[in-house]
This record gives sequence, structure tokens and C-alpha cells, in this order.
Amino acid sequence: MSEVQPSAGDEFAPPFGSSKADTLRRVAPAAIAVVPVSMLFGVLAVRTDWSLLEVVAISLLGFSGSGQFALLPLVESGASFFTMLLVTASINCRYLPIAYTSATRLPSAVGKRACVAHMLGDEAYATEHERDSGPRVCWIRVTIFTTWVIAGLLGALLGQVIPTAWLGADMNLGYPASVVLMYLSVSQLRARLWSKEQQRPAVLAAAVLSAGVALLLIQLFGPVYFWIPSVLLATFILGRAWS
Amino acid sequence: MSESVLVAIAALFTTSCLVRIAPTFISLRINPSTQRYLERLLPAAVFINFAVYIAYSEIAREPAPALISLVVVGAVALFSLLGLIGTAVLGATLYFLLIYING
Repeated sequence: MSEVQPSAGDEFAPPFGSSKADTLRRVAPAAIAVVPVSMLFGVLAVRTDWSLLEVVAISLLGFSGSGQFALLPLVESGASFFTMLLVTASINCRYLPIAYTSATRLPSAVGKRACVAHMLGDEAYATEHERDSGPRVCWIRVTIFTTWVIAGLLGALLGQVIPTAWLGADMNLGYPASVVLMYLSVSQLRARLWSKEQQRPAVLAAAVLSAGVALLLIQLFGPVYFWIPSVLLATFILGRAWS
Repeated sequence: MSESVLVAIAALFTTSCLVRIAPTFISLRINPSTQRYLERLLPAAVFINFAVYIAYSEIAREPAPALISLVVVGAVALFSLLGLIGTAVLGATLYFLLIYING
């Protein structure tokens, strides 16, 4: 899921009809927007030897654009569960306040509530409004979630159909995923660190220092085991600059 | 399923349980300092490491094409010049074009 600014709770949102068709019309642009991203993931995953079942499983159980893309190179490098958890939890920890604030709109039945909570995404949260009923929230989330899973499967099928000879044996098929991750990383950093204008020089210096430390730790520990010490050190460095 | 992919799926599902499902069932009382670290600084630290990791891995493989392409992608993202898909197409095209030109 791409990063979007949440607008839930907007009291001045335009009125919407109450039928399922109205809800689908409302959610369609967001659902369409996730199709190419999920298809790209499916193509890249299959090209790095993931099966169709694996693509569908991670789309169903993971449902995280940046999280899924982040795991592609980590799977290839054989990263540990805790490394992957730290990375994906950090990427997705923005959902903590979003999930908390949108909880009042969810069904009260435990199982249904958990399922609908799992289907929370940036696009769904941006589409929902404070006055939406539980069923409407379900429709919005299920529509985007289902679209995401089906698009991932279609991408995986497409990835299987494209002949390898078209691409060349030495072609770096993971490069587009690296581009996507770089884009998401820079966008996230801009959104999270660039907001306080008066602190930009200090934050920029801290970010550069953190990058240097990360490079040093990659040299010392290798590209798998540098993550945890490097992330903790970068958090500390950024915290000093931010305060 | 391969073991490595299963671990990845487990990590992502656990993440969903922690950040999307759990908050809807429990009342969280987070002090502002912890909240700041959780929401802003820890993810920022991860993304800095992502950027370094990606640059390190790709530049080691194809130095000039990767460096030029990733700098362009970073600039496009920083100044919000294109969306995700447009940037993915631009960055990948530039990378493969430079490899082709280099022979």
C-alpha cells in the first residue's frame, strides 16, 4: 500500500449514498490504484522463485505493499524472523494509531473485528469517514484487500508467462523492487523528518551520520546482521537531533 | 513453500497482528516520548538503513548504472515529481539502458 495522508474523521466530507453500489463507486479509485503495485510484487516474487501459493499467502496474511517488497531481498539473503519482523513492524508501525483511532467503526464480534482490522490499509483509511457504518467500513476494506490479492496473483501469473529468454539470464530482475523500496524509503524519510523546518540541518546531519554508521556496520557484520544494531544506533542518533 | 518464504509470511502476519489487530482490542496508553519513537524515529531509522542497504547491494553489482538510477529515483521521491509506478518505470528503464550502453 502506498503512503497517503489519512482523512478519516473528516466532518466536512461530501455526502455519500448508502447502497453497496455507492460504496463501491467510492472505493473504486483507491482499489484501482493498488492494482499495478500488487501486480509488480507478483511478477517480481515469481521471478525470484516464489510459487503462486506463496504470493497469494503473503498477500492474504501480510497485506502490506512496502512490507512485501521489503521482504523480497531479505528472503533472498536468508534473513532471520526477528530481522524481518523488525523491518516490517517498523515499516507498518504507522498503523498503530490508525488502527486505534478507527477501531470504533469496526464490528463488535471478535472474529469479524480482527479480520476487518487486518484489512486496514492506507487507501482504506483515507477512503473511510467517521460517520461510516460498520458494514460500509467492511465493504471498503474487503474491496481493496480482495483487489490487492487478486492483482498479486495476476502479476504472479504474468511473471510466469513472460519467457526468461526475453529478459536475459544475467538481468537483475530484483532491480525494480529496489527502485520501489528506494522511492518508498525516501518518501517516508521526507514525510517523517522534513516537517520541522528549523531542525532540518540537524536532522539532515543525523541522517547522513546514520547512513555512514549503517555502511560501516554492513562492512563489519555483513548485509544480514547489520540491521538491528544499525537501526537502534540510527534511532538514537535521530533522537538526539530531534530533541 | 520454502522455509525462507514461510518465515517472511510469519513475520508479516505477526506484524499485522501487532500493529493492526491488537490496537483494536486493547486500550493503549503511550507516553508522548515513546509514541514519538514508535511513530517517527524508529521507522525513519529503518528507512535510512533501507536506502543504504539498497544502494550498497545494487552499486556492488552494477556501480555506475545503479548509482545514477538510484540518485534519480531518490531525487524524484524527495521532490515528489512522480508517483510510485512512474518512478519505478523511470528508475528501472534508466538502469537497464545504462547497462545496455555500457555493453
